Amino acid sequence: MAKAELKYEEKIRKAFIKAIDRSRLSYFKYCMRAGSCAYACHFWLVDPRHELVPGIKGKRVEDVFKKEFTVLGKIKRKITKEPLITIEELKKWVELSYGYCSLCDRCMLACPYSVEFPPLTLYMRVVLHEAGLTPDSVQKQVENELKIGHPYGITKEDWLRIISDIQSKFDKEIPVDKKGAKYLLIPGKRSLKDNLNSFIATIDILLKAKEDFTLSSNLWSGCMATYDIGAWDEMTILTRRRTKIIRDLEVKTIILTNDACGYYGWRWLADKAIREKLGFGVIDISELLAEYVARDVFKLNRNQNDFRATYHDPCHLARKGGIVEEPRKAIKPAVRDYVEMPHYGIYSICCTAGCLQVDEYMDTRAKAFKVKLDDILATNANVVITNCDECYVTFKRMFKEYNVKDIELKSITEIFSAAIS
Amino acid sequence: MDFLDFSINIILPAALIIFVMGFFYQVIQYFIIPGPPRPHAPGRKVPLSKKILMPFIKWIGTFKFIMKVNPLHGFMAIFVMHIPLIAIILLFPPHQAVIFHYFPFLEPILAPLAIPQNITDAFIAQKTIWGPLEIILNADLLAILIIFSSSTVFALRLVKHFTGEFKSTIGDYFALILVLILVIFGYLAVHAHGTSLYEFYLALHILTASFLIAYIPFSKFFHFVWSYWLNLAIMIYHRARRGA
Ligand code: SF4
Repeated sequence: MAKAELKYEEKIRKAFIKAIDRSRLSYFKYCMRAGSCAYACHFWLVDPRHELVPGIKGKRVEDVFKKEFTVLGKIKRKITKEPLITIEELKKWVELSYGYCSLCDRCMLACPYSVEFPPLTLYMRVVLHEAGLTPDSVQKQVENELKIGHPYGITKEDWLRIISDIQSKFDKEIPVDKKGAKYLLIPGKRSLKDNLNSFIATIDILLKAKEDFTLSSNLWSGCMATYDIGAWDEMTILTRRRTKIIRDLEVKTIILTNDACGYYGWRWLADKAIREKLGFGVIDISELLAEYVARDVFKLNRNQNDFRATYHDPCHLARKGGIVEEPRKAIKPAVRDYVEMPHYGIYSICCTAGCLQVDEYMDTRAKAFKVKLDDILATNANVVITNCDECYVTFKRMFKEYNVKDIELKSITEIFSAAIS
Repeated sequence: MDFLDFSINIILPAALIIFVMGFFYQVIQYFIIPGPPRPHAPGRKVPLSKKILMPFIKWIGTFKFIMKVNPLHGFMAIFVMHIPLIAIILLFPPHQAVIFHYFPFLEPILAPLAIPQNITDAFIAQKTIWGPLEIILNADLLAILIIFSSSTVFALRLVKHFTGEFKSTIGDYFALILVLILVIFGYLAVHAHGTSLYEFYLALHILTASFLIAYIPFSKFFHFVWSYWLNLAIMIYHRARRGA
């Protein structure tokens, strides 16, 4: 084997070792290939091919695992001299893990063996990242995060300008860099670029609730997509960097608003990434809204939202994050008519983004969106409420693609803020 | 030593030794591979009742989901194959005799739950705790159900293979064939009782069972003794932490 190839193979091997922990053995050794996972996957449902069955995607990872980590596999490899993985196979992994998987974890719900771990497509992404094969549009987000502090390239100057623009809409002062505040509000990674209204609505609610909160001039993204991209080293660097900013502000709790993957990452992964306690709490905005409803902080006027609405549970928030009831507690008293989709809560169908717009695979994702669209249309709702601006942007893109004109999109904070006034 | 003696006294104990060694090999390998990073953050503050209930809701939800999306395969695999298989292994008195020989502590728990061999037995000879349920809970019917369901699951896998939807592996088919052969030999042995073929069928049944026992730790059958329960425990832990 040529030296360059050997080096490459070593990289892949290292990435594999980094990604593998014992919980993965559940797939590698005991996947029963019941095939139930297929029926949960929106990509398979619109294109029922063998290679798109979640468990079968995982089997490709299993095959590499066996070559490297089992005695028989090692012997076989020595004899046949086959490489650990070919570049063609890695390219297939790009297609399968980015084009045909949004890491929504829905397949895990359908597994009769109660598997509770991220699908193996995540580990494909870890290896791909190490191999330098992450799709450009996604890789750019990682680079932007590290260099600029925001996945979509919003600079600190942009952020400060946005704050001052927002400030001009309110009489009350929006606290910035206030030490020791109860809450630090972190904008959704998509909000600043594509749905500022959702962020403005959040600030409006906090100001009206006379909440002790602050923004940080140094933190304008809580994005944790690096996890789903498999850029785990970068995720650790970013989490350390951001944790320091938060700790320096001495806030008690951070609020993620309209940012499902941000919430999921900070609530369930950040401590593992830096291998220590964060030292502050993490909540999603809907948890605070539900608390306001429970405490009767506001008199909500449903007539301000005089439509039939349904709520889309973002995968990272509901299925992965555990936030299911709170958004409903906040929305139901704020809209005239609320209806659930046929699949909701932890069973909700993914919007096809999985917290990542992958420009290279918009076609496969648009096709898979049909499953979500059917769910939405079944409700006869005029408005789809989201609690994640990545989902919001995806819906916007997909509604255009499917020529859906009579359904509006709103964020949970817009709905709530409208009901207050 | 005849064929039956050879199966009982040599093959079966050898299979059990392989099983025990294989079991420890798998479990040790599991613990040698590093675990995922430990969480430092506390779980979500949700009522204790919800923490306790959530894993069960999720567990039941999974089966509801399977029955909805893939009803024939799901029903056959779960209710007509797995449940009768577990019942016949643990509750049929001849099987219990073998189990109690190796694991005597199970006798007080399992012996009272024994099922009759067939409906005639149920009504005439034996009195079990199952009452009218014996119409279903008798070894004959359970064996027929397993033969029927594993053949159906086999056929369903084949159909999906040819439509290109889902291609099972050789191992998947092999596992089903193994179950099928094992139950057929068992059924034949029971029904050949008192004839010259009885010992032959029984020896084949024990041989197949021994092969299966030795094969368990190295195959997907291991879910039955280890991985299913492990996954269930991990699922309960995560769901309880998340509260949803
Ligand atoms: S995580 Fe979601 S998209 Fe990916 S394979 Fe599973 S169900 Fe399909």
